[in-house]
Amino acid sequence: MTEVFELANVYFAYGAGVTALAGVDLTIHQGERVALLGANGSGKSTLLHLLGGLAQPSGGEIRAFGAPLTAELLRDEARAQAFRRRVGIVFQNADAQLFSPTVRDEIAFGPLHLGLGQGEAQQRVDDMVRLLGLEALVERAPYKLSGGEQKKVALAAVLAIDPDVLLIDEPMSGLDPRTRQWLLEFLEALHEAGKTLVVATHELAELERLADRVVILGEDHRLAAAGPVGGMLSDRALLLSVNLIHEHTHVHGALVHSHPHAHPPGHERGVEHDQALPHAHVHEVHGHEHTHPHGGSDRGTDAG
Amino acid sequence: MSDLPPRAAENADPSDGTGAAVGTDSAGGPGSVGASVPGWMLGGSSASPPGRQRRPVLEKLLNGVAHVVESAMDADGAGEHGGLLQRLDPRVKLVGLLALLLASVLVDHLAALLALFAVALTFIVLSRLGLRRFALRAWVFVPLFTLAIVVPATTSWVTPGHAVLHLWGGAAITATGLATAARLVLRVTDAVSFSVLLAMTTPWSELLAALRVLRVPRTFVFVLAVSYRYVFVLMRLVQGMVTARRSRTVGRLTPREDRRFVAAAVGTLFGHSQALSEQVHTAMLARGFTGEVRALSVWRVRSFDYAWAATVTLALAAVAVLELTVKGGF
Repeated sequence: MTEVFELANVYFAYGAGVTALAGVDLTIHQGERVALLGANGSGKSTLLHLLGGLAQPSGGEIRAFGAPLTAELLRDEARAQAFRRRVGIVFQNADAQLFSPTVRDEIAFGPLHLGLGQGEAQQRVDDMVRLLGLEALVERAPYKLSGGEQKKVALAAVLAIDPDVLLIDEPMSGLDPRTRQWLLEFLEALHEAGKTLVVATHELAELERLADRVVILGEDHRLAAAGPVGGMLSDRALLLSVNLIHEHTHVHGALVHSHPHAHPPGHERGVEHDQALPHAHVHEVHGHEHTHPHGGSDRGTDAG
Repeated sequence: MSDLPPRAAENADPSDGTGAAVGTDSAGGPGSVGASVPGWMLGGSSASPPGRQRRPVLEKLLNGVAHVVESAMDADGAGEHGGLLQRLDPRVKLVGLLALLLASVLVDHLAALLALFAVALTFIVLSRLGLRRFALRAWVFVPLFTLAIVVPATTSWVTPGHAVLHLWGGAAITATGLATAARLVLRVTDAVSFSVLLAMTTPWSELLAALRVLRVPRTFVFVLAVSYRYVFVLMRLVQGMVTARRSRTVGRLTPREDRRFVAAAVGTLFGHSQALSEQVHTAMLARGFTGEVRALSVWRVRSFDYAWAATVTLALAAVAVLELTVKGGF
């Protein structure tokens, strides 16, 4: 399998020594679906920026498509443009991603700036509008759209470049359940079309549909583990150690017990549980069965 | 405090100051809350309900500015009416209306100014903008303000001439003074009408793109578009800061405290705008931006646009004829 990215002992620090990544070794192959998993502040977004050639490591080496991805390469306009045509990045912050006056201009921006002519860029815009069902939004200002519509426009703007690799920062963030479902199906279709997908996320709920392989970053900004999704998600000790799940305590009269618990998507942003795929969590405590409504994806059995 | 487990909240005695255990983590692992809610957070608030508060001047000002910016520049819905001007190629419309505006400034004869006003009225009606709505937007403030300014010019003190109405102390309103005032007010009304016609029938994005036909540099147009886009984001941020502060303010603040808040808000806003600009630049780089701006050309000038341009040219010719040939009167 061809390597798309190879990272060897990569370090990155912001400003005066605020470490974001430490000693990361990682290889991503063509056509893979990889999830960069980690708690807030673990360095996922930084890693995505490094892969996208938008930042340079403080130490170590990154190779992209077999060649070193260096500041020198990115200063060479022709080589930088060739790299940008192959790697697209969807940012988490829609305010930063969508800067053009209309949806049409937003989608056309990439193709036009990567050397396509007016006719071909227009064709790309038309195709993306049709593919993502954006016909009614073409003349609208992107920043006035809903969260789901903005996500579609952001994807359209990046896919119009037709990149081989798609880097997506927190794809499910702030989306309602219907749009999440749509996005999952769309990303699956892109994967089937041969795209390499790298998503940065801290959500466990849809991980099995988002990725085949998981790369977990610890709170020490080092690579904690990497492997198939199923194996990683069943390793409770690992998930606890990287702060992706936590022990949750329940009180039932005199009985106290705890179990590992993953928050539902949107939980930390104050989203109501009933918006996030609610399900009943059933567990047995000292011979009694208790049911708790939960919006999360609790895994494993009770510890208490 | 609806997030608190009911049992913990009920069992706590607010008076003992020890509070209640919440989310105790038996494992003590990462991510545990492992803390007690202080006693003063439990139970009802002892604060008396606030009296009627006046909205601070700063908040009113910011909300007002935000509203004006949004309503004045947001013509996203302008194309929905399907009227005459909305159907035109924005480049043709921009050039045509600018020519009419220039004519309003250059002509001097009252008949010519009235003819231009008739042209503006025709466009307002054919563009289905609604006379009342248009009048509120274009004719209330600027022309009336101009009228107030030119009132002294109608008197014999400023403009001598044939007295039409005698005032006190030998002064009078003169025919020449009235003609001068009428010309100025009409000139302003015509110019404002053509400007507002352009603004009300052209989405901001199209207006910016149409500026290219006037040879405005593409980079300048792009910077203008991006600035406009982020004015909204930063304006919302400021409104959020002011609202958040008001929600935590009890009673009146001193001017010194107000000034301190404004200084802090300016600093925060600067930090946010700088961070945002870096993110936007990064997003642009990621899609191939190298400093040269390129934009899609999507318009085609059709026969409808040619017909409108011809009509405007004829109207301008008629105004020129009026200006040069009509003698006497004003």
